[in-house]
Amino acid sequence: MLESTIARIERGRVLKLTMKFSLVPALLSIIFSLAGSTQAINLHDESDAKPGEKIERSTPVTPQASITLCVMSGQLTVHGWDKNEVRVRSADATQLEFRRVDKSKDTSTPPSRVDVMVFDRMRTKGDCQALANVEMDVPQGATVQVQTRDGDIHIAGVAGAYAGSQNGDIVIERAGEFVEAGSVGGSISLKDSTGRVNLNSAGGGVEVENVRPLSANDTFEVGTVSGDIQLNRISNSKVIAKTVNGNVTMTGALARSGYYGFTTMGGDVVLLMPHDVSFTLNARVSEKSDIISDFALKYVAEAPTPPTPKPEPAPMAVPKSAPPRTPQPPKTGPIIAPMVIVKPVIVNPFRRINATYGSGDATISLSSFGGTLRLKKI
Amino acid sequence: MRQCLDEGMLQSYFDGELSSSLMESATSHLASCATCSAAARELEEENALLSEAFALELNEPVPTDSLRRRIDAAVSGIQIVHPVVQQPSSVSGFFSSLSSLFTFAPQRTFGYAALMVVLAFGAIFGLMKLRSSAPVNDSAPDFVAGTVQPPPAAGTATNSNSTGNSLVVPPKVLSPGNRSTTSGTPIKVAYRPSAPKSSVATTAPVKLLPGERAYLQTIAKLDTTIKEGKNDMRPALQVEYERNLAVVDRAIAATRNAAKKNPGDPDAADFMFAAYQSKVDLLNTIADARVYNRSH
Repeated sequence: MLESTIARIERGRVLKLTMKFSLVPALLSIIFSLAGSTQAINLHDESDAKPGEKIERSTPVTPQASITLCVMSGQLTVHGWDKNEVRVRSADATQLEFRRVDKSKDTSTPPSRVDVMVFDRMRTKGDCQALANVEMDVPQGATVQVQTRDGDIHIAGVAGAYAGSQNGDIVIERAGEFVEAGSVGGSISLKDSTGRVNLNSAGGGVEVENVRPLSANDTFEVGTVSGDIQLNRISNSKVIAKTVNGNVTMTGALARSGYYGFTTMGGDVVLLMPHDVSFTLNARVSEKSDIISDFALKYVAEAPTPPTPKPEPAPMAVPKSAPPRTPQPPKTGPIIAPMVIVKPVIVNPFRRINATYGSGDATISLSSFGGTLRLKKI
Repeated sequence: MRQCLDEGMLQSYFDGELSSSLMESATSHLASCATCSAAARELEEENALLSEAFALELNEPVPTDSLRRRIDAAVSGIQIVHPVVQQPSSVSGFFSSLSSLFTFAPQRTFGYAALMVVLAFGAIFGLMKLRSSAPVNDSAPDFVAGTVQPPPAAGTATNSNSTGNSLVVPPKVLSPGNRSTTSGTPIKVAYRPSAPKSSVATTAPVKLLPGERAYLQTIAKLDTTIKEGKNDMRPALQVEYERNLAVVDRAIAATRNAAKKNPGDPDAADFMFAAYQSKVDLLNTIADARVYNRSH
C-alpha cells in the first residue's frame, strides 16, 4: 500500500517536471513570436549597445511629424534640424527604438507619428521607465511631446512643444507655433518663440522673453502657485498671468488693443512700460493692496463696458456649479482727480479703480488681494 | 570470565542488555560452567512461564480497541451515543450526588473558590452600575460625540437654508441605541449622565458662502484621490506639494475671511473663488503627477 502510494507520488513528480520542462520551450516560442511581431512594428531593432557606448538611431519622418519621448529620469534635449528625419542618441540607454503609431499601413511612406522607446539596463517595458539622458534631433516643423520625472528638458527650434517635468527645469527656445509646459517644482523658461503659450509651475518660477503671436487668437497664459513670473517683451494680444503668492513682473510695450490680466493673492505685480503706452486700467484690489503708478492716470467713476475677453473655459476639475463670474458693475466711489506725477503715488484704499492713460488702447486688468501694483516707466 | 554469573547478570544476559564484550565472555562462561548454565536454564524457564502467563495482557493493544474506536469517532466528529444506564433508584442517586458535593477534594475546593470570586466581581459590578444610573432623570441618557467637529471640508453633510447659505450639520447627537455610523467607523462617544439635553455641546455651525460648497466637494474628491496613492508620491514631489498647498490654503483662509466679512461684495467672493480655483489646479497637477509616477 505504502509502496504503491510512494510510486504514485513519484509518478506525479515526474509528470510535473515533464510539464515544467515542456512549458519552457512553449514560453520561449511565445516570447520569440512576440519579439517577431514587435520587430514588425518597430522601425529599427538593432543589437544592444555595450556599456558606456553611445548609441544612435534614426528614422525618416514627415516634416510635421509628431514625436514623443519620455523617460523616468534623465536630461532630455531636443533640437530641430532641416532634415525630415528623427535621430536619437544616448550614452546611458542600452537600446533605442522607434515605434510607428500613426494608423497608416503604408510602410513605404515615412511615419507622421513616432514614439521613441528608450531602454536602459533594467530593460523593463521601455515606456517611460528608463534612466537615461537622451538627445534628439527632429524636423523643424515637428511637434514634440517630451516628459521626464526627474531631469531637465531643453527644446529648441521645433514647431510645437509639450514639455512636462516634476522637478526638473524646462527651457524652450525658438518654438514656432505653440508651447505648453508644466512643472511641479522646476522652473520654466521660454525664449524667442511665436504662437500660443501656456506655462504652469507650482513652485518654480516662469521666465519668458520675446514671444510673439502667430495669429490674433494666440493667447499667452502663465500660472504659478509660489513661483515668480517674469515676462519680457510679450507681443501676444492676450496675456494672462496668475499666481497665488509669487510676484509678477512684465517688461515691454503693450499690444494695441491687447488684454493683460493679472491675478495675484499675495504677490506684487510690477509693469515696466515705455512712456508712450496707452492703456485702460481696471483694478480690483483689497484694502491691503496698493497701486503705485508712474503714469498720470485718469481715474473715472465708472469703468467703461468691460472689454474683457469671454469668460475662460472652465478647467476639468472646476465644479459645474461654480459661481458665476460675470463682471459686476463697479462701485461708485470717490473720484480721484487725474494726477500727473513723476514720483510714485500711493492710491489707497479703493477697492475698484478704473483709470486710463493715453488713449486707453490696451486693457490692464488686475485682481490683487494682498499684493501691490506698480506701474513703472522704462 | 572465571567467576560465576550472578542472577542480575544472567537476567541482563537474557534481556540482551549486556555489552558485546560482556555478552561474549558470559556466553563462553556459560558454555564451560555447569553451575551457571543450570542457573541460566532455570531462569530461562521462569521467563518462559511468565511470558505464557501474561501473554493475553501483553498482546492487548494499547490503547485498547474500544478506546481507539472512541478516539477515532471523536476525531471524525461522530457522536457516540452511550446507552442510558438505568439507575436502580433516582432518589437515592440524587442524595448521593448531593452528599458528593460536600466532599471537599482539592480540585473541587479550587472550583468552589473560583466560583466565589466570580460571584463577588459580579456583585460589585452590579452595585456600581446601579449607583451610576440612579440620578438620571431622563428616560434615555445622551451620548454626545466627543470628537471635535471636523472642518468644513467637502463631503460634509450640509443643509441649505432659505437664504442660500449652506450650513454644516453639527455633530450628530446619538442615542444609546443608535451609535453606529454610516461609514462604519467607530465614533468615540462620551457618556454624560447628568447633563441636561439642552446643554449638548455642539460647535457653532460653519456657514458656507454661496458657491463654496461645490469647490469644497471638488477639492475633497481630488484630495481623496491624492491621499489614496500617497505612497506612490515621491518625497520631492510630496514636499513641493505640501509647500504649495500651504500657500494656497493660507490664501483661501485670508480670502474667505474677507468674503465672510463682506458678504455683499462680489469682489471679495471672487478672490475667494480664485483662491479655491488655484487649489483645484494644484491638486489636479499633483494628481496627474502621481498617476505618472504610478503608471510609468
